[in-house]
Amino acid sequence: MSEDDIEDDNDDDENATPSYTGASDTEGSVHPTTTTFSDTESLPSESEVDDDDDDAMKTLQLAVEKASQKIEEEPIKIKKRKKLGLPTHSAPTVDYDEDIVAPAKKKVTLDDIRAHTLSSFGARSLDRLDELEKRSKGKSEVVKSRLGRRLEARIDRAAAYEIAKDEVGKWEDTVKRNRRAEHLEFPLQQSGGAATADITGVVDVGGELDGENLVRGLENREFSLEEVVARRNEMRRMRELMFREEMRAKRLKKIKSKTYRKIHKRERERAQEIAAQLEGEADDADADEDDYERLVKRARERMELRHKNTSNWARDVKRMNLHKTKGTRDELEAMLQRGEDLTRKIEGDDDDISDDELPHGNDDEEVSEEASGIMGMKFMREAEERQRKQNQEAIDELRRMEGGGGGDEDIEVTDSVVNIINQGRRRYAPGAQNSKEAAEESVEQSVEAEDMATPLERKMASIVVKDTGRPALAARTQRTKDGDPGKEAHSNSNSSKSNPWIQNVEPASVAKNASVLSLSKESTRDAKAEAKLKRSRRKAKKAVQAGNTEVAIDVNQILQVRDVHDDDGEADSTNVADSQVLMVYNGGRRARPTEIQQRELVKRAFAGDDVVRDFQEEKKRTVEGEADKEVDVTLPGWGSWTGKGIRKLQKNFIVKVEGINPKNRQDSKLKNVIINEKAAKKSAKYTAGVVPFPYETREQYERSLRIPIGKEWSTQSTVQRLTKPKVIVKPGVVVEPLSAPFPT
Amino acid sequence: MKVKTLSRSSDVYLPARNSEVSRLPRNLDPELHPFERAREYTRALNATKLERLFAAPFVGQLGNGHIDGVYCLAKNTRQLNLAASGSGDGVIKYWDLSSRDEIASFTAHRGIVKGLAVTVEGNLLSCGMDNTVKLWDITKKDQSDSPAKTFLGSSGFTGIDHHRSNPVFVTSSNAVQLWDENRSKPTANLSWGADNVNTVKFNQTEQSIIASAGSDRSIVIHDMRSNAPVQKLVTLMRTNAMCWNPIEAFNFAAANEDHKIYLYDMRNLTRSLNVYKDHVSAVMDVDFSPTGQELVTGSYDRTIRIYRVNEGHSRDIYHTKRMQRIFCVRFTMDTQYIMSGSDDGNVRLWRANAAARSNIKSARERSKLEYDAALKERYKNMPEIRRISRHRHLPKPIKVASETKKIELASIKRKEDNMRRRSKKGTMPYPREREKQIIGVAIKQAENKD
Repeated sequence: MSEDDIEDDNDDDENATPSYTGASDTEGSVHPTTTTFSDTESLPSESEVDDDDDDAMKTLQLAVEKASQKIEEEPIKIKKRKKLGLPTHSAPTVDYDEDIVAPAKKKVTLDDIRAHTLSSFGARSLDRLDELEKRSKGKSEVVKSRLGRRLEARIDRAAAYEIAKDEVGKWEDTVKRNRRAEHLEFPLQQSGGAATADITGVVDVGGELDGENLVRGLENREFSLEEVVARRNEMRRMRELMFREEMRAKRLKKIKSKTYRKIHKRERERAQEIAAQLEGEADDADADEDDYERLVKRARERMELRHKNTSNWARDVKRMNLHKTKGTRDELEAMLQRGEDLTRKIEGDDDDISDDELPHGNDDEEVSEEASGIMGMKFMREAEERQRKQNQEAIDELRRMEGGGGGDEDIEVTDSVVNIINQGRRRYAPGAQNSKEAAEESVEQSVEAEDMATPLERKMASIVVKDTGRPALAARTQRTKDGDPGKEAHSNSNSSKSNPWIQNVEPASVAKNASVLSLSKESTRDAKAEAKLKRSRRKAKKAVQAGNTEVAIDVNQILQVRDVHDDDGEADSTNVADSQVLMVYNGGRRARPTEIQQRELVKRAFAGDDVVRDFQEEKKRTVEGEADKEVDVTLPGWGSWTGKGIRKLQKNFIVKVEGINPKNRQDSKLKNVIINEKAAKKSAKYTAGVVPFPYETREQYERSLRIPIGKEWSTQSTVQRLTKPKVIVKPGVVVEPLSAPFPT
Repeated sequence: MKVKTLSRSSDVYLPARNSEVSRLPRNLDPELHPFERAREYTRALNATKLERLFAAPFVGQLGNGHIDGVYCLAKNTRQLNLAASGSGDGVIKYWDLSSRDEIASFTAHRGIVKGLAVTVEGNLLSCGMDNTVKLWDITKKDQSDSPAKTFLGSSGFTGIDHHRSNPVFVTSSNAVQLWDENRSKPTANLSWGADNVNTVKFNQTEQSIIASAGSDRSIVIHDMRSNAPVQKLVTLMRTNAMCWNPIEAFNFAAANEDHKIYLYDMRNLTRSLNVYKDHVSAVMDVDFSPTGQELVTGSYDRTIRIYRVNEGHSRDIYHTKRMQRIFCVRFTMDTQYIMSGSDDGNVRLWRANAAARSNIKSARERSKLEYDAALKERYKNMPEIRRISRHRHLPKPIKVASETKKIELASIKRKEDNMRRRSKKGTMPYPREREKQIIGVAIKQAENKD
């Protein structure tokens, strides 16, 4: 049913007769009540037709029927509805909507009918019709006006609807807010007008009022004559200055010379620099604000790489021999200087270069650099401080030993070797010079000790030396050349408590990570954790790399190596096997007889243990057990009786029990896994079948259940917050509907 | 010798005054409270079971009821405990809800009382099929002599509603008419089309807007400011009752003959916002809870159902053995109770929450109830809890009817699917559930402003 139908159907606001049955007829099949509607609608139309028109109606209808039959044969097509509507043309007031609905369509006129009714039967009635037509023509103006009124009403309604919608739409914000609200406390408006506070009209009105007050207050204030004059002069001056500045800017803007621009740019920069310096000195409060800008600037510098002489410009300068000229040379130098500064900054980030070692260290920069990153955090700084203290102590200890000559040499020896090897890249620590001799001596001692040491120690040392790919002696010479063995000394001195763990023996990665690896019991927990993490990662990597070397037994090598060191000299007898294991681990390149022995040993120890086969068997059993099965349910003796007239029983006692197809199993492609395919019936009770409505994923839903609500698990306030109902109604109070704060 | 023992002062754990609640020290160490999920689930389950155990929705009937069926109810919107009911024999009774006694009873009309409304002053307006609207002064002891005012109409009135703040009321008969309390003739005629209007309702928030439902299956929105009908919607079946949402000015619910209730936005009537299903017969009346969060409906299938506004199925169903076809339901103004009037002549009072009790509760009890509610809400999707909380014993006819209806709908769907399968692709689109019932609107949106 179209819009027009609705309009027409119901638009009998005046006493116009709904003489066609419109929607009710066409929709009649839809609903039983519609038939009654059509009845009621047709009733008034019957009553209103005049008695003397009655005959005319009948004859007319007949005529129309005839005509319409003929018309149907001819190509003129008229809708059924229109046909039904036709008789109403007899009623003077009826206007129906051919003009509106289908103005272009051809109408059936009396002439049409006359043309088709040739018999004398319709003559009288046709006369009658003529009369009617005349009448209707006489009142055609009324029809016109009514049409206009209807249209008018329709347009009015549309406009009124728009207004009503707009009016109601004012509530939109309130409604949205209430829907979104976590808690609604009724009655709404008494609780601080939460629902109406955001109606814009009110807010606007409030704002206006404030403005008015302000203006009024200003008006009331009185100014003296001098004040007014002074203010006016000031304003005039400012205007003048602004105008001049503007004119100047305009003039400058027109200058096209590049050199001019360049010079001015440089000038501007210099001025800015100076200003920045002045500012920095004068006032540190603004530093925070400028920090960001400075950071951005520095980042830009880094991106630009203007400070290296690899840039196009620099190369051009060199190529053209422009660096001979004073200006460009200066510029180039400045650039390189900046580059150097920056690199120094970067270095400063990584290395803890002490101030006294830097010849021309820029103190300010140093400070800012120190404070940045993780190193700037308090705990790291504390850790550093602690480390430094320890170093100092260790150095003191060394000095004392040097002086007194006491101490256990063996410890020194082993540890020094290991630590030296682990150092990789050299580091410089305070007090390096002081402990230099001590370190050298300790190294020498270690070399000597190598000769005297037990086979195990020798082995250890040799392995280690080999793995680092840097012979101990070479290392030593290098070190002496460098003259800065401070770090070694530091770790060395630290060694009495230190715990050099497995990293010391792990070959490939040692060089890279050496700097961080000297962990002691005193080092912070974070540092330890970090080291551990790195270690595990490295291990994994190595496992992948060394695919060819077979690890026979996964022994905790960390412990073994520490034992070697901690047990000092006595380790030789007890830890042979361990070291050999280690060697097996490290092997693949050097198979020694001990190693082979070890393998043999392991083999023998686990001789009867074929884990893999057991597992495979178990898996096979599980798969078969859960697959389709055919169960024989034969009862022994059943159907085996004899006698006359006994039919042979069909012996089908095999029942098929459906299971899980081995191919469809989740673990069908996983060699080393058995996945239980049985549905967990017990847990089904505690799982929601599907993800419930507001949630989109399973994880979301599970997250919503994760944190318990009860008071055993959270504080009073949290419990109250979590259990507060969404809608709270004050008991015993009339909950009024919202009322508008704006006039309606 | 003095023996030292572990001891602590009672000041730490005992309240200083009797009125104070003793504070139990708590240890929040998670080690001491393991299995939190399992424990809370069990608590939720128990709470759900207890809720069903305590569910006793029926409070009682008002007085001795009417002699004839009750066909209209009105609540005093300014006082909690006053309500009126009108019956088929023309008698109006005025009730005190707290004592459940009648305050006044009088024959108001010849024939059925079709509508009741309460004026701003708290007086009662009634309309009947005897072409009259009568204003009753409730404060008077004896109503038998005569009403305070009588308004004469040209045909029998089918519904009445009063403006929230002005002395203006609107009636439905063969036309929608606007009346002033102080005038004897209607001030305006707002009708559009229908020759018989079933019901008429004022919007309580946007107070100048009126909705009416006609027997030509139309819903018409009228605006008092422009004194004209503004929008019309025609649905497949007749609308029996309507109610505006008290906190959402543009939304109203319409109880339809087709067993469903529809929620419409008056700004866009081309689709409904929500469809509330579950009834197995025509829905005769609908009323919003004053909080606008829930709907109560009374149906020809002899049941009352309560819906949450944003859900499509009822959260509860009320019925009794003796209760007949329900023609009117109302929430009380404090959202705690529901009144229903039915064919059997009784006016019944129900709890809006079957398991809730309105006694004064200690803080501890209240917090326990809140905790339980939160747990039930959290675990409501667990199968066991879901099953228990949804379980209701229904009267056999309703159970049977709902099952039959299910089968009928399935067969209709199957038939349509078959047709769709055999017809050209795209010629039979799936009808939208929320637009199915709509035949058309008079004024279509030229452009959507939102």
